[in-house]
Amino acid sequence: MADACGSGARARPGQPSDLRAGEVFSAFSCWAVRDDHDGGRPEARVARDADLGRKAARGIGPPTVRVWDNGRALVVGRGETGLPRFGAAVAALAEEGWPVVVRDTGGTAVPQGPGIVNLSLVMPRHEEHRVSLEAVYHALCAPLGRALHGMGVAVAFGEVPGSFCDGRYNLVARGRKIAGTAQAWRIDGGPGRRGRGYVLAHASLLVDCDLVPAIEIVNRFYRLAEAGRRPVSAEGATTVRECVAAVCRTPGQRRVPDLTGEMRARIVEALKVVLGSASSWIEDSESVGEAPSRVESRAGIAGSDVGTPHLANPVNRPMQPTTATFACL
Amino acid sequence: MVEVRIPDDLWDARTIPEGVVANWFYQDGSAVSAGEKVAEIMVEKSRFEIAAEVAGTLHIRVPRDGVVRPGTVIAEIDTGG
Repeated sequence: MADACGSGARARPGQPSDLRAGEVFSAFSCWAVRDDHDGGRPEARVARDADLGRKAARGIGPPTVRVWDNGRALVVGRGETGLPRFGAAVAALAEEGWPVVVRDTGGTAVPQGPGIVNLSLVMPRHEEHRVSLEAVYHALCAPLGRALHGMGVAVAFGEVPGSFCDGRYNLVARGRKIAGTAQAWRIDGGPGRRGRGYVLAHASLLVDCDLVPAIEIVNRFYRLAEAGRRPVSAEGATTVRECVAAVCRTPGQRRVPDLTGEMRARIVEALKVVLGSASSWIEDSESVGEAPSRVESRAGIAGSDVGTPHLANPVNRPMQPTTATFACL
Repeated sequence: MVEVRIPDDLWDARTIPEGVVANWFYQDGSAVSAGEKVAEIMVEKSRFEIAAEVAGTLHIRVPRDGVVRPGTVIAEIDTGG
């Protein structure tokens, strides 16, 4: 039998791993988990990741994992700005109520809007904290995998040919893309900042949205931009809503009214568990633009009182505008 | 000469075979300063910026769209020393 490595075949990334995630989370002594309901224009919400990254790079903000949502928009990788009629496509879609926002990370066009939950990870990029691209994808997706598992949805990394913004580190459920991922390793240059920068990784999880019009906008963008690309298919993607419905076929099964809110809360809970494997906790609540209003020590280390981490926003409880939770070694 | 190199451990080539040079921010033969962003590579939807470690003259070894792997030397910087 031919050896997979010897034959030149690629190794499969497999499933998101808490162990691999730990390579990233254990590199820093303190992490913030930010459950961000700030609102604002789509470009401002996208730009907030880079702001957190610059602060982390300069040592004036912690490494952060941010759970957030966005208004209706099409978010494209920077490479797409070179498409032949990019400007015309942006103008046309803006007229139709689909602003196009350019992100820092790689990849192609991704729809945003209600029913889609984003998860971003930002941390300093320092020579002494060397981690790999793969480990960062695991750190980003291990909490998502854990949260989805709690909903009865099994996921693994993998490509889905014909899906939007395809890549090897998609999260795939039932053979379809349920989340897309990308990264940017930025240099934050300038006087006195030689060698500094930040890593930004983000994922968009399709929770409870209508995929057909969302994917049609992706295809329309590329047609207008004269990209000359093969259209992507809504059939290549799925949502948490679809997967949960497929699992729960019992008549009268409880339908979760706010699946997106429940998913967010589960992601925050999962983050605390994954981070808790390497950290103890300090909690903080704040409003954006204001100093932290409360700092509560969560004493101990993994396996003591952090085994049942306090949830800032338990499932189905109304959310505060922003809640940040800090996990510290 | 100081090498501008893709970090050996940036990714596992058994999982992700290769990336490409997505952009050079300076032309071949340009003067660059230490710490300045000189190039970016794209690998598996990850955009990785690379800085010059030293000041000097940039000599590009892998052009835009060229294939790279962990450890690839994409340029050298002549420090004039």
